[in-house]
Amino acid sequence: MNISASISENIAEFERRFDSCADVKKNIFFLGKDFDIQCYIAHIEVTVSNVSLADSVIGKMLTLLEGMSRREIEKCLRNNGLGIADVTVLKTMEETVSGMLTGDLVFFIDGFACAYKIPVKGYPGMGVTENTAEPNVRGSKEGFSDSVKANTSLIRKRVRSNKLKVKEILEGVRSNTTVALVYIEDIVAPNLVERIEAYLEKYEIDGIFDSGMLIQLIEESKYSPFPQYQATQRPDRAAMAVLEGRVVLLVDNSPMAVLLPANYHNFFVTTDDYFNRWEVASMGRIIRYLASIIAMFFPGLYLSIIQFHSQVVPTTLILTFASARKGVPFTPFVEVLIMEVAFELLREAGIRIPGSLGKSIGIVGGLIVGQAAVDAGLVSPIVVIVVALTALASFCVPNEEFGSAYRLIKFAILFAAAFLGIYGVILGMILLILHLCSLESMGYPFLLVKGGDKSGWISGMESIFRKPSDKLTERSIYANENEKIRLKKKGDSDASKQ
Amino acid sequence: MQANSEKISSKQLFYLLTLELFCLITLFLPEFLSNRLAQDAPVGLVLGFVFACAFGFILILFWRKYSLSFLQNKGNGGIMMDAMVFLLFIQTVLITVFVLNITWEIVQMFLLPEVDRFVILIVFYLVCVFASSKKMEVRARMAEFCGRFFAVLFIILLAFSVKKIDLNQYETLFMNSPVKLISGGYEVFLLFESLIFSLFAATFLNKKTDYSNALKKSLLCSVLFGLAMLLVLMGSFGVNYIGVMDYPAIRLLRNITKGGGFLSRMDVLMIGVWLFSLFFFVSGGLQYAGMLLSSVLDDNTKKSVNIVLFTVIFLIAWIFGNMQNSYYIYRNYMYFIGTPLILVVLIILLLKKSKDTQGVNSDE
Repeated sequence: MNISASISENIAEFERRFDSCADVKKNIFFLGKDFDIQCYIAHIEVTVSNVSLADSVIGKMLTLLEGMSRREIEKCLRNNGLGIADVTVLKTMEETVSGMLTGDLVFFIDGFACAYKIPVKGYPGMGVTENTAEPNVRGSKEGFSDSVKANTSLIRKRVRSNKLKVKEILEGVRSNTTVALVYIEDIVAPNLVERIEAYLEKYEIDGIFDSGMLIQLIEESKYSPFPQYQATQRPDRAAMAVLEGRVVLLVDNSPMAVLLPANYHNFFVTTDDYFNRWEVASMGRIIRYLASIIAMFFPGLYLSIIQFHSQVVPTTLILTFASARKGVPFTPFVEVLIMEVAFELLREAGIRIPGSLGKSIGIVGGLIVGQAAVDAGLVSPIVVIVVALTALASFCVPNEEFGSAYRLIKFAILFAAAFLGIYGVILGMILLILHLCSLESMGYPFLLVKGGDKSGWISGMESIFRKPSDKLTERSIYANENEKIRLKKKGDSDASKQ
Repeated sequence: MQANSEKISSKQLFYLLTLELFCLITLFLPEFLSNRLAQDAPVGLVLGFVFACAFGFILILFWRKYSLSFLQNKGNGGIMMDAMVFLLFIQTVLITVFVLNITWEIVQMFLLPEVDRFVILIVFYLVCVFASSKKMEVRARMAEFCGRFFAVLFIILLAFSVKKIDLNQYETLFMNSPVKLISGGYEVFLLFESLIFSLFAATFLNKKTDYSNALKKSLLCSVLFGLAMLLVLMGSFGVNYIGVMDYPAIRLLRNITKGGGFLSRMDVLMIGVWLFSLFFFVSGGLQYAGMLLSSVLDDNTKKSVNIVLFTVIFLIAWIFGNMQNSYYIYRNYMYFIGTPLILVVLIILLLKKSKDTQGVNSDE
């Protein structure tokens, strides 16, 4: 519905739409020398305080308009808008309603068939907080906040380029949540933004309250335990991602940004890897990859050896296992399962219990339960070591969602090992690799990003061994072919590098 | 790079072919060759390789002439094309059954002696059926991912075995008559003949011109692996002993002992690799057989026919019972009927295409 030039019609329509909305503040007032020009402003109560309205640019502008004649006001608005940066002129009532609901102030003036959307302080939020989900040793400690505007500005703060684009979309029929796609125009892969938009348009949902809700709707394989997107709370990681040619998806009210597309290797990289020396960073990555294997297969392999293939390990080792199991009433499978379930209980309790008590529960619970179980002869000390090492390994993966997938797979492998020993583990491994190879993220293979092109698997060996900084000359596989070079010596041409 | 997840690269095709051949060449061939040709086993392998090269050349020509069309004829490709599809189908089913029986035998022999054959077979088979339902590029990506790890592991384990080699075990070559050598080489070729499956994977290639490259590299790599394994085995055990052993390659690795480590039996690592290779072969066989059926059937009946096909292959594997029987049937069929017919059909199809092309040119 178009906005009328008659303010009384606009007021009537607006009042109708926001009937019984006590939190929406609407004011009618008059401007001009003779106070004969009717105006109307509306906003959500908490988004504008009386003090700030009076002190703000809009407040001052209204004071200025008060002293003008009708003709002067018309001329001023026509030529200058409201003379405020970031004012949006809206032509339809739907845009106006949605503009006000995003936390801005809307302003109607008699005789003008439009409304002005004026940014004000917006909804209350936590502001920029310290990032706690992905701790690092070096680098910025800032974390994303709940406000999509603040989050886009945190990326803009790091990438101060006019090529950095922010595309806003409203998602959620009732929640009208702002979703922002942040990318660098000339680096992003061709059609990637359009593809993400097409995915976003596939569903119509009543409300979106976190990026996790949205992204699970649009990922390709919904039954996979592996996330096909990378969530991060770190603005520096998001900024790095846009420089690689990826798209950052931000959702209002969510401190987690989503990086698209994602591949298996992305989950093993931390921002610290690029701030530290390459040898240390490479070592860290090898440890993380190793940890992922331990997290999935260690209990299963232990069980296979104990139950089926004792001849595979040296005699002294198998004797140690046997003596440790002496007096344990359960089968090795039940024994491992009990300890794994106990660990999962502790982990879940540690997350749910508020504050620092949660951490204490994890440590104290682990120590006491483990020691008590061994003392009581319910489990062997070897199993406690196996479960503890597996747990430790699963936490080495820098992405919590990805680590959780490993914990799920660990149970599947455990069952396969209990049933068929190493044969079961190998079949589990086959299925796992097959599954990973079948995954895609925004149309890109999840495991073998470069498969099909010259450089081989998972972005080449560069993935595991981080090259020295001056050798990291190329952007990731996602970057536009014409903008592949990220580092060159001053004076070198792109062509000579390529 | 654009998202190109629906295509496979030359490198992926190479890994896929090599991994599919790997199990037959390194696991089965040494025992079989030593039995047939004794001291001349390496000569037989090289002769088989020469035959395979000639066959590969024909396949490359066929690919250049027909490309995708042999899988898209829907029964309209003429009698020769139908014959080709039929022959390929029989070969695919028989060799898949043979490899399935190798699988359960090695698992039962070396890993799970107390577990029933049916359990071992059905679990593996279900995994393969699941894999065959995935797109070709998924298996190709998997092959590329695993290929390098496996190659490195294989080379390391072979290097560990080298110190057990006794050079006296290598005696003079060419002790057998030329006819026997050629016959042995021909039998080796029967295994290399599964190269024909590359035509299926090639239909998904990024660049059609990459096919010959991948085929040549894969053939060369397979024969090198086979030769290395055969020579190490001959040097370690002696040719007479290999001939009477079940799966001498596994037994060789079983004898590698490295003190102070976690493993006392290195063969477990390599059995894992062979199981992957067997998986690639069987899942490929099922997928290719399905593709062949789809090429002559309606799309509507495809799914139900695939279910019947998978059931039938499993039942045949079950009925054939073991590797020896399966190989006997495969070998006899291919030796006397399959290979000659496939060669004849391929050559006729090539000549026909050349004639058609010449006809078009002269009309112009």
